[in-house]
Amino acid sequence: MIEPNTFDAIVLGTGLPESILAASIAAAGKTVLHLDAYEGYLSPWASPSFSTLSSFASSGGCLPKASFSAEEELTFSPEEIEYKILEVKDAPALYSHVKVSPAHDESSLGRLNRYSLDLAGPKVVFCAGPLVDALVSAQADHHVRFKGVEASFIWRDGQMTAVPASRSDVFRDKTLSLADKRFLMRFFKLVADYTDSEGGTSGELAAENLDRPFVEFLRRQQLPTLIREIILYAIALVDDDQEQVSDVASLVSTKDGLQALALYLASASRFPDAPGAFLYPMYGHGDLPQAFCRCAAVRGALYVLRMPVVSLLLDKESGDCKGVQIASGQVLHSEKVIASPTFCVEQPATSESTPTTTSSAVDAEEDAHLRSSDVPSTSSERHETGGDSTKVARCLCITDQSFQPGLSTVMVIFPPNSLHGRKSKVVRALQLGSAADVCPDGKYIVQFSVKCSDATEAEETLQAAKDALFRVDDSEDDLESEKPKLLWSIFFIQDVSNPLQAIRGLKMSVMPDGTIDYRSMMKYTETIFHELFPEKEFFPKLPATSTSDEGEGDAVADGIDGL
Amino acid sequence: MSARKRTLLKVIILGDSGVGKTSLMNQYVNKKFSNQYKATIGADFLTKEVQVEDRLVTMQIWDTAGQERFQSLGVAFYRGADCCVLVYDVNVMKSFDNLDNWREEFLIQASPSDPENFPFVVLGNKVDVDGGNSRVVSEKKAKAWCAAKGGIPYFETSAKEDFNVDAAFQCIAKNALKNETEEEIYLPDTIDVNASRVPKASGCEC
Repeated sequence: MIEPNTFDAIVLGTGLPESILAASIAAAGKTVLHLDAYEGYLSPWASPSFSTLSSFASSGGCLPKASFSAEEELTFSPEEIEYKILEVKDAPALYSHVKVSPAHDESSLGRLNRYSLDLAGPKVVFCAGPLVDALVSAQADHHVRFKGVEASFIWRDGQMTAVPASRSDVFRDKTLSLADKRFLMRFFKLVADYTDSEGGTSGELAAENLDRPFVEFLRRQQLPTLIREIILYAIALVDDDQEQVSDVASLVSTKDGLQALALYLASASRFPDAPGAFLYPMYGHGDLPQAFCRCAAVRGALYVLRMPVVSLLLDKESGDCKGVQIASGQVLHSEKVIASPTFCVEQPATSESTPTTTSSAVDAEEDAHLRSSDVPSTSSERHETGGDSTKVARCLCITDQSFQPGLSTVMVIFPPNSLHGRKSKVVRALQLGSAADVCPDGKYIVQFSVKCSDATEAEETLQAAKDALFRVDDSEDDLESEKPKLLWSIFFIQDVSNPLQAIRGLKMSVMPDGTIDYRSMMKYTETIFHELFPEKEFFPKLPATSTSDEGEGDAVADGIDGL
Repeated sequence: MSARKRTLLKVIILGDSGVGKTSLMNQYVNKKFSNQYKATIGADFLTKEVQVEDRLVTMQIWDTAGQERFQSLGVAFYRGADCCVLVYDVNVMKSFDNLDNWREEFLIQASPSDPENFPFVVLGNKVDVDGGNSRVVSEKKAKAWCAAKGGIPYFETSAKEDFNVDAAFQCIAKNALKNETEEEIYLPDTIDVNASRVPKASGCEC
């Protein structure tokens, strides 16, 4: 049996946000029990093997669960449950429209056990972003090595243009015209002035202008279209069309845009060995949760994998979270439970957001309190998922050569409406090779994603992006034959929306969203931490021996100086 | 092929909870022993400089951080190990029986390129207990298991009395190093996000 049976927090699921929370709570000196129904840290954030991904595909998008077997150590005499019991179920259909295009000949894929396929791909890590800071503060950094993303390209009119990572890149670039270079240099200078002034600027960047749309600001700078697209979609990593806006909520403010640029510039110069602003974790993104879990374990968190949770226990009177019951029958107590979105807990109430219990009526004051405590996370979540696109289409492809000869880890951005005249959102692609140890030598993985509300449209959009990069079968065209050949691919739609949860003490974690980096996930994770432990610091700063904990302002200033 | 710069050896210690994995590490690296048992908290890995023949290498010894208790170690933990140490308690039969499982688990998770020849070392710990009277696994039986698995080196140890610990780790370092040169492969340049890290002589305060 699991001993002790009472914890400051119980975490269910080993996705990245849950694992970061386990590590941060353990680092705050609290006791943590981390449970997972799956084998080997499988979650929507994992990088499953080829065979695991194949069973995911054949089941129509279910992560294969470990079979639970009550081991000797887990036997115990059951205790009487004095709580209200809410059954825990699997969340319905997190993945849909799963389609595999199998290899004509599986041997063409090489050693299958060498593949790690990111379920949340494509994703990259900003060198100066919050995830790297958390890794260092948590002392999880020695468990993960990174590969630098070697280059980014933007796709327009059937061509790839390199995205400059720094001022020196602008000088060296051979695809940009002299006039474009001058525009970019002037613009980088402007961003540097903005960050140096810490927001206290006048004129163009006066406070009253910062809330206005970023795209208007860029237009006023009279930047050419290509440069504007590079800045918006490849550097500030905006996902929604900013030129033809259907939903005002998807417009990025000047302030957010400038902050994103500052982060990009700081990232580009943070690590001398990194070729650009972005990193990719060796062996895939699935190593990140494991690194945080290891840190949590080192600080005393207890780990039990292959252990399903069967019910959530609530106080009969208040309806507050009191713990969980696991498949072995044991009851584990905690007033704080964090659950992965792969869990679904039946709502104790009949109406959507009003928490009432069948056994006792919750008074109005309590009710109001519960709802208000949920406001911060819900509003930020809505902000991050961006309008109505609560799904993201992903496609993972295996190819036989790099689409950029000589380069392995490469990102491509297809700005809005850039694919064969199609109306489309931003499509992101990331190529990885054996240098990142995610596939056998000589093979490449290319991951695609696009935010979507319609599956068919998303599939067609990603097909157009694939056609741009890969060889069309049996083409006689010489140019076509130089492109990589698509050997195998999987397409699926993943749900991003996060269930509302109104039980006090229960926090739902998040699914990987449609963005290519981890800023929104980190923000959400930190918010949950502070809601659960308002008196504690999220990953306390390390002593001065580490350079990782400079304020964001310092890091940004360093970045600008480095240009 | 030019000599590889990296002389850092990753050694992982596996075995049932309570067999003395942490105590063995602590005795070897810090020359300390505590009779008080607590499931491992606070040790990520310990490092020690070792002279192996004419080479000075840094051995990084990874503890299970308690994640072995419910078999919850992830593939990331096993990755890149140069030697795997299997520990059992000579006074507990189950811990010896489980060596098979631990070895198997390692080979599946770490998937070394040459599993037949991957270096393991087996330690039968706690030989001091009750003057050896409570012992249930004989040296003969343990040696037979090691021989059947392709001649794994075997040591009887006592972390408490510091018996045979140095000799065992010297063998571990030697075998880890042998594995490293045999597996000399192209290591792509990777980025360490903690640029300020200073190599420490021993220990890790986390």
